[in-house]
Amino acid sequence: MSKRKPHIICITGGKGGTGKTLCAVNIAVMFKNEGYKVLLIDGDVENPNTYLLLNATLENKKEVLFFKPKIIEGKCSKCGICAQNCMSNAILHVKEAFPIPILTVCSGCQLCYKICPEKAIEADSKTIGWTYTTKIKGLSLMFGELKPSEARSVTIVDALLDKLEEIQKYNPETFEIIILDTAPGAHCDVELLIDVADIAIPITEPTKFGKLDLIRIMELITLLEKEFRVIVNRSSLLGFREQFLDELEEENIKILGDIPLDSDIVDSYCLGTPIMDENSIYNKEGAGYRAFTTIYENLKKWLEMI
Amino acid sequence: MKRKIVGVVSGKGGVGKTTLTASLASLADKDLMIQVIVIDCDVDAPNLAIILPPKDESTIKKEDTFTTRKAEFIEDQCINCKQCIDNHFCEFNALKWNRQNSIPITDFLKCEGCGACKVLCPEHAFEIHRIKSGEIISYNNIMGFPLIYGKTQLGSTTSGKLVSDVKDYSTNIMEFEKSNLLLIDGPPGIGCPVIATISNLDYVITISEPTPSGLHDLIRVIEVIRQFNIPFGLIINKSDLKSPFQDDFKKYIDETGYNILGKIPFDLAIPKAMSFAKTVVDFDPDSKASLAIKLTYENLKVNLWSNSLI
Amino acid sequence: MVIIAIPSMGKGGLNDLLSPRFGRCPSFTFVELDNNEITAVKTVPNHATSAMGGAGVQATQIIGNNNAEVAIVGFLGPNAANGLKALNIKLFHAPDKQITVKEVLDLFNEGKLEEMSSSNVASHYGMGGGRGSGGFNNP
Repeated sequence: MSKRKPHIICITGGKGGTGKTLCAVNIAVMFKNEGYKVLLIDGDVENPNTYLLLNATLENKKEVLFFKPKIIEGKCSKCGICAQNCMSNAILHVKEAFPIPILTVCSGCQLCYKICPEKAIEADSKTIGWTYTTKIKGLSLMFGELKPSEARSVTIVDALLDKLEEIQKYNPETFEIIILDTAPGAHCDVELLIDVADIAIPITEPTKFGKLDLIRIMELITLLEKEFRVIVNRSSLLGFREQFLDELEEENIKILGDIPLDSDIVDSYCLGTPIMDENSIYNKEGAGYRAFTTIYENLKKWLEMI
Repeated sequence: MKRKIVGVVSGKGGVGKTTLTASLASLADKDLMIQVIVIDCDVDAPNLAIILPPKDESTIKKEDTFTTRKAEFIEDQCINCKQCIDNHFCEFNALKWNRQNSIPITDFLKCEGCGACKVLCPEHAFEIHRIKSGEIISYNNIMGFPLIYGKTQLGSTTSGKLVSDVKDYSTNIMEFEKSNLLLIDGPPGIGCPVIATISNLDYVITISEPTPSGLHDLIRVIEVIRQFNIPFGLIINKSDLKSPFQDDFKKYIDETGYNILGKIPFDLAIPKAMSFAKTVVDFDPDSKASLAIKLTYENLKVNLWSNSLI
Repeated sequence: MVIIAIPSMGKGGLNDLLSPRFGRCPSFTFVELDNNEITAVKTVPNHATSAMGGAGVQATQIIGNNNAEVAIVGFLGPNAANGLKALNIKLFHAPDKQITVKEVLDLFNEGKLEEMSSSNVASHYGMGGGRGSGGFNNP
């Protein structure tokens, strides 16, 4: 595997609760175990959970700021140009009154600030979330969190990607493997992370819901022109495994592997001790452990081919 | 009974919003006092239609939505002054400079359609266009009541607006007038599509499971619900899950005094029912999950209409 | 003397129905009241209906520009509510049924309408990419 440019792997899935974070964390741990320099980025900024699966404490908290227009009444001529040009209708302007920004609709484009002829709008800001970085069990972890009641998660994801860009510029060899864990869904947050990655790994489950959402996420990944291989989690659910894997094969959907139900995995998930940890307390002959090992081997083979 | 609009959210994905919403809808439909409409606002991954497919193809109505805006660069107008880059017209990093041709390039994914480039460019070299943001589909499902769902156009980036459009659409269908319960299956997360779902609801059902991420995400979504001052109740799914976190979870829930609508035990009848594209209360009405869901439904009614139940 | 704004159906006017939605109602009816007597009526079409986003804010501008001090609304999204609050316009809740502009005005004069408290409204911030919220109609 090339040791110059890092491999950026996006773990995604569309459907919620399929096991994206579980897979992202354990894949990161397996690479770290083999001596790779790994960065794990939790891009599910609305509900970041990676730190729970790693028992990590979050450090280096930095605010993510968002534009907030502030009208300086002393300079404002009440001309209303800001309100007229605001495409989001985020400035309320009633004749002979000062314009009033309505923050719930503001897109943050800063046009009002840029076009005010009196320079009467100040580019103030508000905090809409935070980023954190930490090192845990030899892994570097970068984490973003949207402030509850704020709507723009994409701004936090942008902040994470900016930090990543800084690291890459400063020293592209800082990390050899970068793993991006996305939110469920297929909206802008998820798109941005898939777009930045070299390859994508959708995580699915052997159910009708899982299949439908897998098809959607595959469409999105294909739209973004990335290669992908699937992991089927909870594969042993109700004996659905064989049929589901056959279906995927019939549709030429490549898989990295499947992970059966395993109480060790539930335990590891709840205790914050990754099942594939170097000093794993879990049964190495267990179905979950062996499944992850197979997935890791297949992943490395795939990366060799790229 | 006064109409109530109820949303189902969870923060964490995969805890059972869709399967529980489908079962509650089925129970509501069988309830002679209730006329229900079901809405799937999980527009990135709408799944309710799998369990509640159309009764008849002829009742399916589809409407495209065009609420996404994107900028288009018009090369003919450009005089290569590079002001757009030098003066940072775009706050979303959607404008990059193509050195070879001395023109800007717009990044479709990052573009928010805010229109700043259009206003600021002295040569009018940017235009803003609407593009398809998604679809709204409605029909009468096999049980008879209306189902409405939204589906985003991949790459269009406007889930929240589509959620609002889907909710609005439901108020214009024929059955809305007589309906007294609207059940909305919400998206995972706490950001803009969830906020759009929760807006203006009468009641919110939150679903969680006894795992650390289940609890962590529940707390976050409740923070958002509280901002809206909307009453809410909690359903604990997989309530008897064998997990080392059970005690911590129970302790936390007891301490907060959240209103518990129901506790649904882990039951393979649920995924089994889903594999047959049925709700669990229809597929296996005597299963422990179904019995718990029926109790939950009765609690929900009391919470919604309390003293006004005839 | 007070001017009351009422979102209305059709072209508006005393005999038209109150529109349960605010941001995208077809028209606004402005009624001038002096000692509870109607002294003037004006109707204004609502151009905010075609707004992509922030219709509530545009509609609020219409209310403000017509000098209304009171608005009687069926249902209000958070954007409009924030705007109306910012303009210090008093909000009253219309009853949950089909009712004409004249009928709701009578109820107002009789003191039978509930003033809307600000706690009805979400004080959430931050949006973008054409999110849009509220506007959910619950007549």
